[in-house]
Order: sequence, then C-alpha cells, then structure tokens
Amino acid sequence: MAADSLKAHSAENVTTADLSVWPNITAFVAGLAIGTVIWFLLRGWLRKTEFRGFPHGLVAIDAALVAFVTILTSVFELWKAATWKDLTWPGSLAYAGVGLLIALGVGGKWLLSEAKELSKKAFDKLERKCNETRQAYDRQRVVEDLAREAMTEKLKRLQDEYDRPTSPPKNVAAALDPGRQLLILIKVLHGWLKRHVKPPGRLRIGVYGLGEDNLTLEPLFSWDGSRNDVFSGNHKDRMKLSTAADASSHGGKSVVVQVWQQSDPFVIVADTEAASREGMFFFFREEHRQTLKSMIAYKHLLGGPLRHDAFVLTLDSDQAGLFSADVEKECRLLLPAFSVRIELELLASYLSNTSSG
Amino acid sequence: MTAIMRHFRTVLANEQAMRAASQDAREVIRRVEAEIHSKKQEAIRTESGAWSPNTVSGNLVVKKG
Repeated sequence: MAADSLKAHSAENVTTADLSVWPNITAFVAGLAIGTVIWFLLRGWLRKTEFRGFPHGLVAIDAALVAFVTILTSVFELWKAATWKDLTWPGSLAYAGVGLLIALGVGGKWLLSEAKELSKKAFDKLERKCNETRQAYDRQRVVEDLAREAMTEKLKRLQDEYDRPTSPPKNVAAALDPGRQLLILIKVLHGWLKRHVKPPGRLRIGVYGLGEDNLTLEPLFSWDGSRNDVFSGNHKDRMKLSTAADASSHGGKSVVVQVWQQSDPFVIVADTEAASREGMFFFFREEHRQTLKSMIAYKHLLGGPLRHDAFVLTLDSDQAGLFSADVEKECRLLLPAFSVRIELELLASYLSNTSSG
Repeated sequence: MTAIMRHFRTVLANEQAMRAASQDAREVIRRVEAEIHSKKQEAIRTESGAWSPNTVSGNLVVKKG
C-alpha cells in the first residue's frame, strides 16, 4: 500500500493537466510584492534617519537570504513532483516564500546602494560644514592677527622708550601716539583688503562724520593707497540726512546717509550697477558707473558718554562684486573689530590733547 | 559736529603721522602675511604624511583620499 502510494506520487505519474501552475505563480508574485513593500519601508526609514556609515547588518541579512533561497529552491526541486501534484497550497506558500526572498535579496542590494549614497551625501555635507568652519576660523584669526600686529607697532615704540636710561614724558607720549596708531589701523584695514583687488583695480577707504551743520555727512578722511583726500566732496546735497518727509525713500541719497539713518550698521552693495537697476543705489555722476562698482559702508556708534557720536567707514572699488562672498564675510568681522580700536585711539588722543592743552 | 569729531578730523589730517602710519601698516600686513603663509605650510606638511609632534608618538598622519 505504501509502495503504491509512493508510486502514485512519483514524477512519472504526473501529467501536465494535473499541474496547478497559476496559484503558484500568483503566490510567487504576491511574495515579490510583499518583499518589495518591506524594502520600500526600509528605504524610507533609511532616508528619514539620514543613515550614515556602512550597513554591516544589512550585508549579513542579504548574504543569509541568498543561502535561504538556494536551500529552499533545492528542496523544492527535489520534491517538485509531489508538491505540484498533492500539496498545492503548501507548494504555493513555498513559491510565495521564494518570491519574497528574491524580492528581499534584490531589494537588499538596492538598499546597500541607497545606504552608500546617503552616507556619501552625509559625508559631503559634513565636509562642506567643516570647510566653512575652517574658513570662518581663518577669517577670525586674520582679524586677531592684524589687530595684534597693529598693537605690536605701538608696543615696539614703547619698548624703545623703556630701553632708554631716562625717557622724558613727551617721548612716552610720542611713543603712545594714538593719532598715529589710529591711522595705522585705517591703513592696515585698507592694505589688507586691497590684496583682494586684482591689479590695476582701485580700492578707496573713507571715514565720514557729521559736519558742522549737524545735518550733512562729510568725509573726514579718504585714502586710495597712495593719495589722501580722494573724495571730491561735490555732492553735499546727496550727503544731507533725510528729513522725516523723505525718510521712507532713499531719495537719491548716498549710501553713507542710508547707513547713518538705518539700524543695521552695514550697507553692502556688491554690484552697484545691478543695485542701480533695482533702484537701490544711485550714481551721483554717469562716469561713476566705471569707477564705483562695489562698495561697503559701516556705521560705528561711539560708546559711553559719546554715544551720540558716530563715524562711517566706507570702502569702494572699481572691481564689480568685490564685496561679496568671502570678502564680504571678512569685512563683516574686520570693520567692527577695527572700529572699536579706532574709537579707543581717538578717545586716547582726544583726552591726551585736552589734558595737555 | 562735536569736539571729539573735530579732533578726529585734525588727527586724520596729520601728514607726518600719515607717512609714518603708511610704513607701519605695510610692515603689519607683511608680518601677518608671513605668519599665515607659515601656518599654511605647516598645515600642508602635517596633512601630507610627515610626522607631526602633535600626533600620538609613533603615529603618522596619513593624507586621506
């Protein structure tokens, strides 16, 4: 009996008509679909968590899946006849299992590539951030180095006096010389930023303050690297502070007036031509389009009892786009840092002058 | 215009101080440039595989990529 049963289950007795193929194919496709959904969910999770690193666990699972599929298909092959003939639903489940494992296996490979891509993106992002931090640190270090070396000039003058057997007070005062120190700071600022200008480009630095009428801003100093008093001073109407009536618009006023009257201490016009087209910048004369292509203005309010006083530092160049990107960032650090030191020397100079005079 | 701003204008117009300041400013910039150059060279040397005293004894800093 048992022998008969075994014979009945043998491959020889199975005909094509007995085979129920469609449930098995359906099960296989269903398995594939479930596997695909699982990997899609895993992919979503990887992306959500911004996975970084190498997924060792995923590689192990992927390798194990290959082994499982191999074993399962081998067993399936051995018992194929019986499975197809009598065990339709268990057979279908086996097909579904194979479909699921194949989907998981293929999906695993795909996920590995996803994980690699995500890791690369994360690494690139970190590298960019690292470079930005390093550049910011370098800029900060430049400010500190310049300020320290400018102070060292004064220190050297005082050390020379210290080396003398006797140093009269007027020599000490000359060594301290806050007026000279103040000019050193302004010229260091100009000289340092001039390095960013491509020859034969021009860079001018200016210092503005309120004039005798307390209504017009006047250039107190200007320098282009070889000459001083390089501003014409011909456009006093443009340098008048706006009244309440026209305060809402620029009204063709200078950038210096604009920075004086606003709360933000900076006005940066990286490209004057573009700003002019947008109505944000006004050329006083048509020929300025060729000579004034980028500029920056910074207002420094004096502190303490002098808090109603202020000065404006301006830098302008015939090189379009100069005050943008890295140079703009450098200026945002340099101008405030140097302005405080200029104020210190100004106050020292003023007090020593009034106490001696 | 306040007295201090008037004084500011006077100080900024001092020709003698201006000449001395120009020379001092050039010297300041030269020193800072030299220092930055030296720091860059040191950074390149450290990153290119040379032994650095800042690393753990015996370890080499190997340039990646």
